[in-house]
Amino acid sequence: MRKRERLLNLMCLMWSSKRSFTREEIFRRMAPYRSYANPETARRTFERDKKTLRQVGFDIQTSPLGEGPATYMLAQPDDALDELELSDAERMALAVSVAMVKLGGALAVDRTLVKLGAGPPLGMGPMNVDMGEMETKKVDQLLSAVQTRSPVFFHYKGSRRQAEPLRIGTRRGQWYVQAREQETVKTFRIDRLSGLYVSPREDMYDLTPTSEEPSILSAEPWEFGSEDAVETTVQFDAEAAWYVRPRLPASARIREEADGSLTVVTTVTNRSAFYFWMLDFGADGIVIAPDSMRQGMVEWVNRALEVSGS
Amino acid sequence: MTYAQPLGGLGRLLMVIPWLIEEREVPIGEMERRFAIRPKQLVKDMEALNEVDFFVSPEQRFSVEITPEHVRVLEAPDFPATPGFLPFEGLACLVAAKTALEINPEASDLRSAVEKLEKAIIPQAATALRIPSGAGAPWVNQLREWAMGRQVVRLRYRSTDKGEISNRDVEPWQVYQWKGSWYLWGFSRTKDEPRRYRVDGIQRARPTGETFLPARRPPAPPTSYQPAADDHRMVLSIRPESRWITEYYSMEIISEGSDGTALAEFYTRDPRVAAHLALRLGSGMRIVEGEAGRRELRQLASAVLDRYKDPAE
Repeated sequence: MRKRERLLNLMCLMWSSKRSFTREEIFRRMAPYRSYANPETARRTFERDKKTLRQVGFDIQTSPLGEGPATYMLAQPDDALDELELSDAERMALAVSVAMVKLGGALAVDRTLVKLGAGPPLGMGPMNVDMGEMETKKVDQLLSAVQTRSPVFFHYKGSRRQAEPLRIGTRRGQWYVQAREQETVKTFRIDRLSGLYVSPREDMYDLTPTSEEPSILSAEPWEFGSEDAVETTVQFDAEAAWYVRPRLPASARIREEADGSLTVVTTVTNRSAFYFWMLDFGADGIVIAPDSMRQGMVEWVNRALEVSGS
Repeated sequence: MTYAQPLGGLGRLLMVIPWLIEEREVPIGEMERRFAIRPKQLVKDMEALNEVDFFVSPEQRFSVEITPEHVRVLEAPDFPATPGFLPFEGLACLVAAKTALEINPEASDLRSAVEKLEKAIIPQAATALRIPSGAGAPWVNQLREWAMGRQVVRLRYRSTDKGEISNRDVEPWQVYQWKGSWYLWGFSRTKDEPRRYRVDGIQRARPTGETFLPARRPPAPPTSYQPAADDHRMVLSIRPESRWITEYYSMEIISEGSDGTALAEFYTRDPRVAAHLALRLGSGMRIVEGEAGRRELRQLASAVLDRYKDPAE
């Protein structure tokens, strides 16, 4: 009870006064810190308590270094989202998701549940979802840039870039930002951005006319290449249809034949990516048309044999 | 399985106190449902709260009346509201919610919560966020239930790299998602060792009627390949345009050429895995060492090329 009592009192002291305190002042007002014979133990306990409050989601604002003794103030985070105004059922549904879908490392489940103010039902079996390395600071910066329509500057693949962020998304464990760079919408992997800086200037570009260009966020790799588009027809054997169907792109035109085989039409703008995908099914599928794509597939396989000396 | 209460006792109180102060009087049953805390624990927490000495502001004590039916706030200190979500937390929560929707697309409360969450993260969410929500993942929910019920399941399974279909009896431990794909992690009775299975490679699944005693602490699901002593060792040369593959397969880069070509060491139980990869990458990857891999590559390539032969030949 001692720790809980100390923390609740620390919160009440710092919250009800709505001002900054020096550590000495806090220790003067709170006997539990003074009760330690060793001042170093008291200091470490105070540091742990601050850490706990931050874990719960409070912002402990500290004074800048070099301006007299450090001061601490308990605050609600400035950039917190507005109240979600969830019904009890919605709150519980979110709590169940957060507890059931355990996100690998990127989200503190405990803190999220405290913030939701709802516990998960007992007896839940958590699943693990690895949402990749979500670089929280960069994601927050980019979200804020999209919201205020502020240009961003960053390093990417060895060059300095300036772009207008339009959209943030995730796919297959990677986080991406789509941004307009010199009138072209490009997709950048967030983990590969460095030196990210958001311009303080706001309302600098228009967000609304963002069309959904095929990209890694919405299409398959062979659909957003730079080669001439080729409408390609492929056929998959009936025995493999159950396996193939969930792996077909949303944009594909699919026809189930009387024998159970699948005829699929897809647009290819990146041949390497297409052959890579198609050969995942080994000999269960075949390119039907056009001849150039059939021939391309044969050459692709022959080159694989040649380079490996097979 | 009972989920651990967030941040222990303090987390429980920080969830409950701001809500209780606002509501003033609530039935115990409602608190139990909302916070997933057993009534006995709730009463204990409330009693403990009554005993907290709010010495920093003695005029603001916390005092609650507890009966078997309800909790009523008599006095309360000036207490901060629970902090709101930071944007990235909202985003991560959205990913969790959309993943849960994938499993249960009919959950209307969750769907409306997702809409509210999206709008709170960014008003232009419809265009500015792209967090995929699948159209439903077959087997995932069912497998999770069988895992929780300790039921042995028989899978009709197609192996991802080899394309072979066979039956596997599995003691399911956990369902998890990694790099956008769902996996079942469990103990294969057929292979007598822990194995992971891609859920979209399961053609059929049903319980065998047997149950199993779970290991006290089952190993965590693998996110990389753990080589065995009798694995095949291959050395692969990977051209720059195909280097991305090293993020998806466990391989160690031994050296790098001036043109960006990487030489990588790759261990596999089955040489067909390397052959399959070499076939898919075309001239982007070369099997430098590993005769078994080259042999399998010839067989795989031959099966594919046969399909493109002119029937008249």
